[in-house]
Amino acid sequence: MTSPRVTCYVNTCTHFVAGNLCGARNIDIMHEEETRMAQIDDHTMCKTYHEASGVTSYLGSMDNVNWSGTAAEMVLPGHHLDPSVSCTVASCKYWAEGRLCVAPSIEVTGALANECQDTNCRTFESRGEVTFG
Amino acid sequence: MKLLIKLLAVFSVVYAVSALMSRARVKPPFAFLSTALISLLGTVGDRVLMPKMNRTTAAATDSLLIAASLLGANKLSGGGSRVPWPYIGAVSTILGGFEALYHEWIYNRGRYQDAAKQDEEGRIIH
Ligand code: SF4
Ligand code: SF4
Repeated sequence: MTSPRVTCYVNTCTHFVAGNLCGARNIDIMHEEETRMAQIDDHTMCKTYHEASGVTSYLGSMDNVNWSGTAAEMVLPGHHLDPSVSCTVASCKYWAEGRLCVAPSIEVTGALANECQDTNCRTFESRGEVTFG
Repeated sequence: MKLLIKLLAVFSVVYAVSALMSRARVKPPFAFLSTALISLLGTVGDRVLMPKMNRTTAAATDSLLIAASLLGANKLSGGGSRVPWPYIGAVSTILGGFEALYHEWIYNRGRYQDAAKQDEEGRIIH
């Protein structure tokens, strides 16, 4: 199973690469509130968001960097840098068993975010049959 | 395309400043190495770090990186070139200015501010 293409607008994240790309190896998309199933895209978040606030923030997020993809993107720009996507938002119609996202591409929004709750998976579409828990 | 323009700009400045400065003399190994180092470090900086910095800090950081790259290239290329401090200062300043303009070209800050505003409005509407 291949992961979707990821376009990200969260320009304050350590993993953000100009060109709206994500340099993380894997991203976790989750419900914003643990006890509430997402019903709209604002209820989702990219849990992997790591605020860029000095050198230490980059050191702190280094264990989840797609090194080879980022290096390739630097010398051959445009090959698209996509992290694997692990998603727990079971109320989304693109969600599949095994924390999978079967959408061909996703958009993570939240420009100028300060915390992961400020980010959203804009591609979320409600399945419809899920109710608030 | 954008990377190519950066490579050409760096290479020309490395040569042009040495041609204008009698105390400096640049040989091809130094010119190629410094172009490669400046462009590679600069590209990583532009794509990964620059979006999270303000304009001035980004350009100043680039100037420092350029000066360090010139010193490194001088050592690595065997020292056949003459790159005195005024030369390093002039190249770093000119290329720092170029980087400030280049940053605006490759990264549109206003777009992210607008996107944040739209996100905020979207949230209020929801
Ligand atoms: S917010 Fe998420 S998708 Fe965007 S750059 Fe950061 S880790 Fe990647
Ligand atoms: S589109 Fe749906 S399944 Fe895919 S990452 Fe976003 S919320 Fe998860």
